[in-house]
Amino acid sequence: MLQETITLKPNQNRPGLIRKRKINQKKVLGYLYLLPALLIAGVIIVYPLLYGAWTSFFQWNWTAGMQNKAFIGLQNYVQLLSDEYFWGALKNTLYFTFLSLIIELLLGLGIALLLNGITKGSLVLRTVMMFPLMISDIVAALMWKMLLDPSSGVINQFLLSLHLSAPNWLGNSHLVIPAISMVDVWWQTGNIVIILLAGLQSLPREPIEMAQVDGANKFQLFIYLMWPQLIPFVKTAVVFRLIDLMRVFALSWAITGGGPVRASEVSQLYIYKVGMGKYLNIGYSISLAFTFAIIVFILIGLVNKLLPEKN
Amino acid sequence: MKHAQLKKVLFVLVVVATVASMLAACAPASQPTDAPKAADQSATEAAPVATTAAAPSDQVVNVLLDSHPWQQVIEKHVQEFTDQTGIKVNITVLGEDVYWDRVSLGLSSDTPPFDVFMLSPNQTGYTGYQNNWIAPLDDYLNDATLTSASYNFTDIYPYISDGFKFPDSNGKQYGIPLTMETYMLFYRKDLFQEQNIDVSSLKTIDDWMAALDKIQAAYKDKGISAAVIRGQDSTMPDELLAAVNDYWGDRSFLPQRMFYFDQNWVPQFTDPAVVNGFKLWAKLIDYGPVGSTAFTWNDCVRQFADGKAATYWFDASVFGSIFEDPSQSSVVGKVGYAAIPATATGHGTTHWAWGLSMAEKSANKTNAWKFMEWATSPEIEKETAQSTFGPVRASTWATMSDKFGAEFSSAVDQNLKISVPGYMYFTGSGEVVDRIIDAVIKISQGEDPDKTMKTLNDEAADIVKQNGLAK
Repeated sequence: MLQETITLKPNQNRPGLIRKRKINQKKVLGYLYLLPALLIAGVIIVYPLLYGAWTSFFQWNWTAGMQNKAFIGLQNYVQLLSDEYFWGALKNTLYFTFLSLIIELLLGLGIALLLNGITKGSLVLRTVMMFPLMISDIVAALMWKMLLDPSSGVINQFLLSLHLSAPNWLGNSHLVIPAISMVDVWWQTGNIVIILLAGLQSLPREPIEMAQVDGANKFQLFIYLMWPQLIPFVKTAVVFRLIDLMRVFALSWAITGGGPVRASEVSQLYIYKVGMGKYLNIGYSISLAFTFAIIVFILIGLVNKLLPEKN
Repeated sequence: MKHAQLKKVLFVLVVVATVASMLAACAPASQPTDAPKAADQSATEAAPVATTAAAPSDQVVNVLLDSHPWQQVIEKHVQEFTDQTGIKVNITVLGEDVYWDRVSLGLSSDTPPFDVFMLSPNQTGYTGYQNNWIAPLDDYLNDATLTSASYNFTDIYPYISDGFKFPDSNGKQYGIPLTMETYMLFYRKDLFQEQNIDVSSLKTIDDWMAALDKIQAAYKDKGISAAVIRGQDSTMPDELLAAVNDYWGDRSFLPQRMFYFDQNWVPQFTDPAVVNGFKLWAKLIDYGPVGSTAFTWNDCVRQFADGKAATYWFDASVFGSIFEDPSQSSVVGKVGYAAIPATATGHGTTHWAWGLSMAEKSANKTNAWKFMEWATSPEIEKETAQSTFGPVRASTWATMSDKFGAEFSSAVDQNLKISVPGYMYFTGSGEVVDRIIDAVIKISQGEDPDKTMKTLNDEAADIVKQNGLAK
């Protein structure tokens, strides 16, 4: 009987080892491909973040000279706990955020349902809905500042022509946030429409057709069939808009400068003023920025947890 | 295999290029080596405009300017400078609401994006001085090879040029004045005549307030307000100093702190003169149209130039050039100019100036000075003054006061006699300024003035304590 002896030549690997080596090589190569992006992210995101965090433990006011930088530990964070202007700005931000979000969600859903229900002209209408999204926040803000001017603005001229009262939108501390919210609704509802329309158009048609055959009306179709499947899309829209709304800056800065008497001063505007915008109190402004970021993070986490994944 | 090898080679090249570019970006910038006494400059020769000899044609000066009548004129003439010297000038213009933080950002950089910029001795200027971001100009002014004899710096009024010497600077000059403004009163002669109000008989603030009541009653329903004044404008506190000075009387005050803090940094916002100044300002806001609490100087100028306001208070004499320009104003020939009227306790106002300064870290200082010398020369000021109505040189006022109009020149002259420099800057002054704006608007909206000023006083005390000025 011949015995076949397999003799391994020097440096010859078994097939399994070859496969393992190839997988390892692919992994390493994958990480190496990520390296440029990681390096860039490290330089422009991670390093400034860490340096900023470190700087927030310093008293560093450029008006006193950049060389005068003193370590003060948590004093900046202690100071902000009693900073009524920071908490006032946060209150304004939350008011603006939730007012805008609710209106945009309701309006966006209504428009998405309308667009989903029509076939002729829906492309044109969809494009028209997207027009406001194509302009920048500063352009939207400056445009609406003129429209909302109490004496020469078109909005009040229109109201007066209908013999209605023409309020001082931007000079009344009770109206200013709703006015700025109105600007954001005009500007950003299209975003919600895009997401919800995509959701509506992805819904399977058969259950809806079967329900219609069974005599379900539009309201019942929406509540029992469409809405449960739309929830993930609504959640996506809510989270995206929440982040965007909380970081509002240009609308407040350009339309009112935060007035009257800080009634429309939002968190980002206050942080900007404390930092490079005016006071040059860099250490304190960074502590405000970090605190605000943590608050937004917690808020998004809470919303994520409270909103159901699917019904 | 070859395709895979090619991919690996390309990948390595991309990584190397990325890392190399980032290392290049992180490399320290070369320090400016340009010195005021550069040896390659030839002696000054006679020239149509007082500049030194031509420099190599490939040189460029970057200039950052605020949107201003002075800037509009200088841009029309800058080619003359290039033709004479071969130095190209790149000018960037920004609106005032974004100008100040751009100056701070630019100056703080190791390689400022501008060599020359417009400066005012306010908080931004003081911050620049504190951080050695602004170059002192004395060596350039005193060097005959760099500054011609006909430039004549002493022709500039000292009370204006002294404003560009910061405290503790041993008298060094950090800016060359460009244009001066004093805070005065503009009024519609025709409206006062229609109401049979003799303006020459209005001697005090109270006289004027009574007249404004009459004007308001007659014209408010016709879309003309009795008065406009800056509201929630970030620069309003500069002009507010004029109103406070009008009540302050002959009492002394500390420069940079103005009337608001004493030598121990104890706030003085409850001083009757300060309270009255704030109350007057709030009252004048209330005479304005709906939305006047948000008025910036731009809104006020537009309202007055469009004929929608009968008076315009405590604002810059420079606006006279706009009101007399048919392309910008519908009230040409109808505008009266007056010095600020007296109060029961005093009679005063303030003045302010824009200047031209040099970035300390500029790598192009000699050419930057050439541009500055040209732009602030007597010859160029005769051009810019026609638009600014606020020359800083005695020689210009002497030859051009007819151009500005007798009433305007007389009002400015009277105003300057009762005027003090209105510059407030110290660590934390930005926060105090914001609290001042809040207080004025609150009073105009009906809040109790004494209570509001007490709150402001307490906040100001906290601010100076937090910034280490007061114990």
